Amino acid sequence: MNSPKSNEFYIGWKDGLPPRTRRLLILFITALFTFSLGITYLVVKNQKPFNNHQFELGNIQEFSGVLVYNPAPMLLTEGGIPETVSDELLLVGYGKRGALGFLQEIEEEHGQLRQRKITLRGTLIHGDGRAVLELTEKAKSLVEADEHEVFNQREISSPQPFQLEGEILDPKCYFGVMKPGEGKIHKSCAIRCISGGIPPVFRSKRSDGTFEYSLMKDTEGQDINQRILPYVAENIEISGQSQMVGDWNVLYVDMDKIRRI
Amino acid sequence: MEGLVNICLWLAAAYLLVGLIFYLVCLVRGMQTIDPDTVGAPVSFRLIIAPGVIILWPALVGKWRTKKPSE
Amino acid sequence: MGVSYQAILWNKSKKRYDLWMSLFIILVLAVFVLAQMTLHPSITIETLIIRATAFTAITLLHIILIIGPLCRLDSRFLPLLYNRRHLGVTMFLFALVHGLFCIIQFHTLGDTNPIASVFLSNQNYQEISEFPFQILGFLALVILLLMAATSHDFWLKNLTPRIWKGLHMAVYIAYALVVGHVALGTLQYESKPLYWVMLLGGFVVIAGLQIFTGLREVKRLRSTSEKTKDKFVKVCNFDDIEDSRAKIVTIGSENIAVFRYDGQISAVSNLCRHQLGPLGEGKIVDGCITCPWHGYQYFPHNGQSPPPFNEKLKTYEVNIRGNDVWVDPKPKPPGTFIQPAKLEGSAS
Ligand code: HEM
Ligand code: FES
Repeated sequence: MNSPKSNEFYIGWKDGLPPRTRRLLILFITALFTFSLGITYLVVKNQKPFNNHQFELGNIQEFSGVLVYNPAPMLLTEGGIPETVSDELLLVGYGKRGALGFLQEIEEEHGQLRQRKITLRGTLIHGDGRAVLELTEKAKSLVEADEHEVFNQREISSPQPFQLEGEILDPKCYFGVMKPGEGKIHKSCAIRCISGGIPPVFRSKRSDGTFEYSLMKDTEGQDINQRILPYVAENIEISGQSQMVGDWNVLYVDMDKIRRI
Repeated sequence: MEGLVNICLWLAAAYLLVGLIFYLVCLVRGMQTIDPDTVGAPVSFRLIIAPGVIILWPALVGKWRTKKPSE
Repeated sequence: MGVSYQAILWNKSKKRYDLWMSLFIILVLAVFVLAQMTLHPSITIETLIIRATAFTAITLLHIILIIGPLCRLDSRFLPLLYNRRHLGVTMFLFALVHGLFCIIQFHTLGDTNPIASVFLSNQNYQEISEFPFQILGFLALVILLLMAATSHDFWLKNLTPRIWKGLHMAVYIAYALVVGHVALGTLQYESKPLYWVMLLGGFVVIAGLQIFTGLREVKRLRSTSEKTKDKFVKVCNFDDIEDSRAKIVTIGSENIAVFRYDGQISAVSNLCRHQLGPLGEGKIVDGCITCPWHGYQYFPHNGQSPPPFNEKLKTYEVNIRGNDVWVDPKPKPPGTFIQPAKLEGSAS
């Protein structure tokens, strides 16, 4: 019994394709090409759409405002950024780093900057009502600093108990640097960013389907970056006290009550 | 966990470094003791087997030792 | 081989093969990139590269894995096998770009060594849906790297064909890891069930073809004869073998190809010295047994490759009694001359 069904015998180094072999292969290759290209299109077509958040890569701009460190490093600007987003610029560092380290370096050289009006250079990241400034030039991001302290007038509400369902994000990737900057495929990156000092942001859904974004602290008001790493990008329920500080809602999270859903 | 992963990475790096040194030594002398057919092979051949030699050097070290260059 | 190595050996068929392969890849990439840019214009260049290379790699991997069983189903598919090595190395290169870009995009510029970060960032092994899928991709990439790095015939010879073959069977482990990588990664993020249909569909086709052809093989390879005389075993009737073709028999642990040519019979090992291809499915061309896979050649009477090559096959004593072909399953050392058995009263 012979296993080859056809009597044709192809020798690659020797001659061309025997006729019946050739016919079968033309058929097969045509089918393979058509099928594969169809699949390619379907794969792209059915992909989850990306958000329209933006990272203005390559466009370094200057922003002036009052520097505050609480609840996270921010520049409280007076306009100069797209109208659709908050003018409280959340500051993050270059790469997967928070802004704090770079700001400390700047302060070592220029003295205390807290509550002073300063001008920073960096790359704007913005989307869904929020704006983030990347200190692209690291410790060289300071353009100028005013001598006098300014006491800003952010409205602060009184603390309220809260319970929310949602996902911990790193705001740098989510608000524009990466597509997608959320969920399972981005999880490792979000962990790296939050571990590197980028302030964690909690995204929860309001009843009208829009998203609410809140900064996260522990009940003592301390940073919780390292402690929440195991929950990043997972669907969780958290509770504690919350408070509006300017445009940002701040969650003081009870670490013992974090629950995976 | 972190310690373990870092140790593994260092070990892997050391292993590959030995492979790289072995490969470079082979380039100068020894390749033909491993496989006489490599005599006269072009430079591109030496490049194309480089990753394999660096990763799988233990498989070739034995041949290198047991065969004398005169063979 | 007995001639000195070249980096890459091309001939007309291989060039044509590579041309079709390149055309396929270019078309897939073109459709992928154009569709992304029109349907998802806000995609970043990094994500585009990561996804385009991943998709190309997994597509090529599927094609590579169905070529084997297709050839066993119908020998006319064999030209697809002829230069499969280039398909494999190309697939690896795409997977490599994907892996490197993922490590750069998701793990560099942070507070941890990027490669360590692949293993340390997500450590949730308890929940299946949160499983660190990137580690599976990393392990798959290591296997594919080993295979691509040893794809040259230099390795076939120096690792021995048996070990080489074993190493390259690891492609199935790599495939399983990639399926896990996608199922626990991207498919935990995407919401359309179509992706599950595609991934599982691919798996069903590959596993189904393998099992189907495997079963056929087992049936065919089952020892055909119990009749023994002296040390010889009866394998078949002379007329059961087509001229210039062979019958494959398994006697004990010996896998033997019994060839008929010019009215005579010779028996050699069924395993090609190149990549253990099934010589018994080959043909005698210009007086030489010719392997169906890549065309290595051997003389039937002594199992030796014609000069300048120096491959040698084990040979077996043969005997014709009446119309029956008998083989001594005890192999002679590779390259041993055996007098071919002639059919008595044969005209040729
Ligand atoms: C170092 C090794 C690897 C890493 C770190 C890695 C990481 C990733 C990541 C993060 C994603 C999600 C990307 C996204 O959709 O934006 C992904 C998806 C994917 N990976 Fe890998 N991967 C690796 C190796 C591999 C290998 C060897 C293959 C084999 C072909 C592969 C095939 C895929 C496929 C098909 C997808 C889904 C398509 C996509 O979403 O891009 N990966 N991988
Ligand atoms: S296996 Fe490659 S020629 Fe026989």
